[in-house]
Amino acid sequence: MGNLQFDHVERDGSPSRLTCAACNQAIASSYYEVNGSVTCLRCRNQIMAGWNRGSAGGRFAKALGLGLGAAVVGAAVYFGIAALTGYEFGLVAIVVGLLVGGAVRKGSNGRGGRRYQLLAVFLTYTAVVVTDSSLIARELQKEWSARAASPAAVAAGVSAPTDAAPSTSPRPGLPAIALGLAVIIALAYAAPIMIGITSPIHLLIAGFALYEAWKLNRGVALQVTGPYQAAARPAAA
Amino acid sequence: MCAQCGTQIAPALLACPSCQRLVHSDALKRLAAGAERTAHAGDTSAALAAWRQALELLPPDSSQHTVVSARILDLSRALDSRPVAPKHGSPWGRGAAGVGAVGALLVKFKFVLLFVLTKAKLLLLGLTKGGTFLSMLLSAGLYWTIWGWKFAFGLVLSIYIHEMGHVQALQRYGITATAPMFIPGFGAVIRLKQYPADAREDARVGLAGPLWGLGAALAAYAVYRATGVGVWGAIAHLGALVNLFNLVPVWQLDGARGFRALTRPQRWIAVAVIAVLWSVTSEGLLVLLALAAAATAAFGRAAEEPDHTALLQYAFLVGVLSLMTRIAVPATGP
Repeated sequence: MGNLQFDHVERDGSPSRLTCAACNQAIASSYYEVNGSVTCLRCRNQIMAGWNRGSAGGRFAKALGLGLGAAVVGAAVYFGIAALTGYEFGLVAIVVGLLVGGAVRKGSNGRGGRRYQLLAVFLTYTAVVVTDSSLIARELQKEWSARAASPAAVAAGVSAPTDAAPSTSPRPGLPAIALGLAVIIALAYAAPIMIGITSPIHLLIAGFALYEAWKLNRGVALQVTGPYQAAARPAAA
Repeated sequence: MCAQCGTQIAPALLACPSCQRLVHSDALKRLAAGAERTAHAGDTSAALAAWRQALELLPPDSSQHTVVSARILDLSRALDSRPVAPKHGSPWGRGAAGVGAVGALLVKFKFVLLFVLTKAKLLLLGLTKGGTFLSMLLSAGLYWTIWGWKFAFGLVLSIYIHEMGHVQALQRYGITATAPMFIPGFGAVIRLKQYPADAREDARVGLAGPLWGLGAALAAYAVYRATGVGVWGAIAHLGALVNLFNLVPVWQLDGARGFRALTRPQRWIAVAVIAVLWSVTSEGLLVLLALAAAATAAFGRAAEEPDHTALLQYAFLVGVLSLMTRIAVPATGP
């Protein structure tokens, strides 16, 4: 460590004069700082113009569309693996989180931010809900089949009157259908938590997936400061 | 404003963009002197912490950054080549060493006692962090509502010991990190504020958690065997499962950090070990481990240099933890 000094920066082959990090041109009088890099006025303006391209609504719509597509692909991967291997790997949820998080980030033009984080988490959770609901549906189907095949059910079916009058109960109205749908959706969204109570690892994996989606969409701020004045004649390093 | 050339320096810059004078020159000199002093005194962990702090004050593209990074790597490797031992010796230990076999036994006992006491001190100190303690209580509260208070506190304590394993390893390598934070229902996390020097260091830090977690599960099992109280057996069983799950080599799980230090052949050895243990224990979680490990061995970016310690630690952990998942737990404890 004998030759190590901490007075001036030592760099291999890079100029020691004030230079724009974007275009590598020398800067004469003043510079800007863009996310930690020294930048000239022209490059700073170009970077800011690129950053502000498009509307906020347009970016959100794009993020929503891409995120939805990724959630569908993620769910398809889950069901595909289940069909191929016969195993249901909850760990695929993490892949779903990464896919959705990445897609939403792309849609936001790499900006991220709280609303994109919430969108990514919602879409990832929805994909987890779809896969978990299929698990529950399959278990319910098995139970119903078992019940239908039970001796009591068979007996009840045999003794049922064949000349029974057709059902006269009224068809449910629109509010009742809407309420029923809402209850089904609420139950479906509660499914991962309900499964998690009996299988904490399942909940843990879902949590990882949501965290990945959230993390990928952390807000990236464009920090531009300046102008800063350069010395007219820098001292020799 | 640069004291040397008068250029205005933007707040995020580490050096004057005109004359290249380092902004934190004085702090860097102080840290370097401190690092050299502590390294000479034998406190490698403190030297590493000082160099890592210095690294953050240097522009990443500077030669100094490269030199200090190399110094960190050397010190870290030197630290790995010596055993974990309590730092300070005491005169009575040296005196006991001079009185033959009994003395040697006393010295050994002293070593073990000091080892346990330093770890116990670390565990207690960890609880003084407000965030850790509060989030721990919240987690315990959630588990309490599901499984009862005894199991809830046992589980939270197991997770805490696992996390403190990471903390101890991070302190050993002088890496700054946040205190453990419990996330009710999900476990706990520690966020690193500095990067490990290489895959070997990352593996040591990553596998330290399951190693300590295994210690906690074994301690719970020992209490279960001694007292016959079922809840201790259940804590040992779930502790083994949770730590085994952490060894799945994917994402940011501890197993993935261990695997980063393994070469491709070493990874296939790990797959074989997992397969053998699955044939012995029939533990379903091992199928997941084997599949993830095989995928990482076949497609992942493997290390170029073998890390025998990481492989041994990984195989040992998978072996003991998977055997512990066979612990028969009574449905209801006394």
